[in-house]
Amino acid sequence: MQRKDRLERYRGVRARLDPSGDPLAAMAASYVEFPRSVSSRITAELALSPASSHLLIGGVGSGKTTELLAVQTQLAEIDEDIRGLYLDVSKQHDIARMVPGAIIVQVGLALAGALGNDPALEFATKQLDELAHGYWAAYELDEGGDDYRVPGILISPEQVEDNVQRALAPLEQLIAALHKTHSHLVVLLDGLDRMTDMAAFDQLVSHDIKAMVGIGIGVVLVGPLRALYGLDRTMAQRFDSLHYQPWVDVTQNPDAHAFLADVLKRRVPGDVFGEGGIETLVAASGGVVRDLLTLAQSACVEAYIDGADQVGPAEVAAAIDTFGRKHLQGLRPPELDILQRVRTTGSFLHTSEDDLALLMTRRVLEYRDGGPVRYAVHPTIERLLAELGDR
Amino acid sequence: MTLGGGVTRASVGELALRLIAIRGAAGYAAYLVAAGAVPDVIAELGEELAAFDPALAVEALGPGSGELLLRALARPTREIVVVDAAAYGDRDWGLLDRRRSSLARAGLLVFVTTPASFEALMQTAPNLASWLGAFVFEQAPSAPNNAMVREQRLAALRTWAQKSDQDVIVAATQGVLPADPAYAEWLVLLGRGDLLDNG
Repeated sequence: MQRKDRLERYRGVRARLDPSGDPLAAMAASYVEFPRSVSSRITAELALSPASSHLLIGGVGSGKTTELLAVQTQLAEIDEDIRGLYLDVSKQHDIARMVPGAIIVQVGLALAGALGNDPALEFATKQLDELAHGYWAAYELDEGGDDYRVPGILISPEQVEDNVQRALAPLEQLIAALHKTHSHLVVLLDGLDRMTDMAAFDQLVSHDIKAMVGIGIGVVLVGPLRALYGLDRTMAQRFDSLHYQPWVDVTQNPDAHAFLADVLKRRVPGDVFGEGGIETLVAASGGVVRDLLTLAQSACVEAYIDGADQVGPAEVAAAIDTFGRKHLQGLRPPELDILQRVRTTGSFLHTSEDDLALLMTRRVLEYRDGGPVRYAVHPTIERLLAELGDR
Repeated sequence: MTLGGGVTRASVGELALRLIAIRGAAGYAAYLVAAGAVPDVIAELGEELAAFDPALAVEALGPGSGELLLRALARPTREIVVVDAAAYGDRDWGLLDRRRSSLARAGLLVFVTTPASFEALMQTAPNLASWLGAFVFEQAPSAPNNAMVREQRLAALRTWAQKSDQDVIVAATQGVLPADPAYAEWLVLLGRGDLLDNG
């Protein structure tokens, strides 16, 4: 194969393996549904109870966004009366500064956009826009003085609730308009898994989610992984259902291995990877979909640099090594000790912030495929940790 | 921590070659260099990329904080954006992690930063780190980043192949250059990376 053709071939493959690209486009082209997928369960429950609330938890790169989008697609197929509305709430707002009402306002604006330019909805849309982005208000100064009002420091609980109600009123007008075509609205809220302040997350659930469910909106919310552990576990009780999007256990579960191999095969021509290449990449991914795609991408780049027409064992090994070396950066000695323990004994206790950080960064992977919970270090760092332990 | 030599090493030229290979779709990469070397490396990377394709649109950004970077990326940008992130700490990487969706773009985004700053990224930005995947490299200490080292490497290549620079350029022009990656490096060192597409 000529160099130019080889470059075009690998560029094309890499683009199809892009784990950071538009998930909607990737889904349309190459979605592979995992048996008993989270999206199927959520869709089924929403079909029975459209105004129910669902918390979706999963690790980084496990495919939560894809599952949310799959719910949106499946809802339209299963009941045309239900309108699914996907929204990444982190795009418009810094989720470290969440305040009650912020989610409702975003849902309202997204719904207004989805309903189009209906003049009857102009006022409600303007109200939401002003709540979201602020506005200039003229006010009269006290007679004869040049005083101006200085906002107080205290925010009463009533004021917080007032903000929620101010955002809810125009949203209800938009819902009434939606009811001309659909009986139910389900909002699919993405991006909140990156929240680290669990008290702020709790407040958001107490106000925005509760208020939206109260007016008949179904909610599926992607939440932080730490909501599964420790005291934060009580958070899940505020929802009708908790759904866990797991990393799939490719070493213990043949179906999981076949699923991930299929994810790759859907995206690349059959002759791109040499014999055993896909199996090695699947094993090295640890069952993390995004890591599988990025490892495969990297192997393709290595093959181009090596002048190889096919991705062989050397390129796959180089990709795994580079990924693993990056994955070990930023670790402190106590974290390394924990990783060595997980590597050698499979024992992992998620009691401290350090423990949780290892899960959230995928250095430690947790498998809940029906049997006992199993822990392992990410396969790309296993050999490097062993080398470190031997020193 | 730095384990077994840290992340995989690559010269600026090798990084450029990888970026050329992943053009055409969204992509995120990090390149770790010594503190103080970032501006020179960014300039050198621009030259290397231009050697591959003079028409390639590269933009160097030096926003002093994560917030300023988000503002800069909200405007139309070129195909490859190279960011001087040497000053970024926990606060900046944390913000970029929460606002990761706002970093999404059609082209390539390359963070050039220090190992210390990258450690902060790995501690505070797990979502951004997952986008970087395996595209994280550290500058090789022997990288041909000056004329003398470059000439030494060219001399070694001439001896190895028993060919002159002109022989290699002619072969590349005619599309008969062997597939060995050393020849690709040779062309890049000669500033004729554009001929790689003739193979």
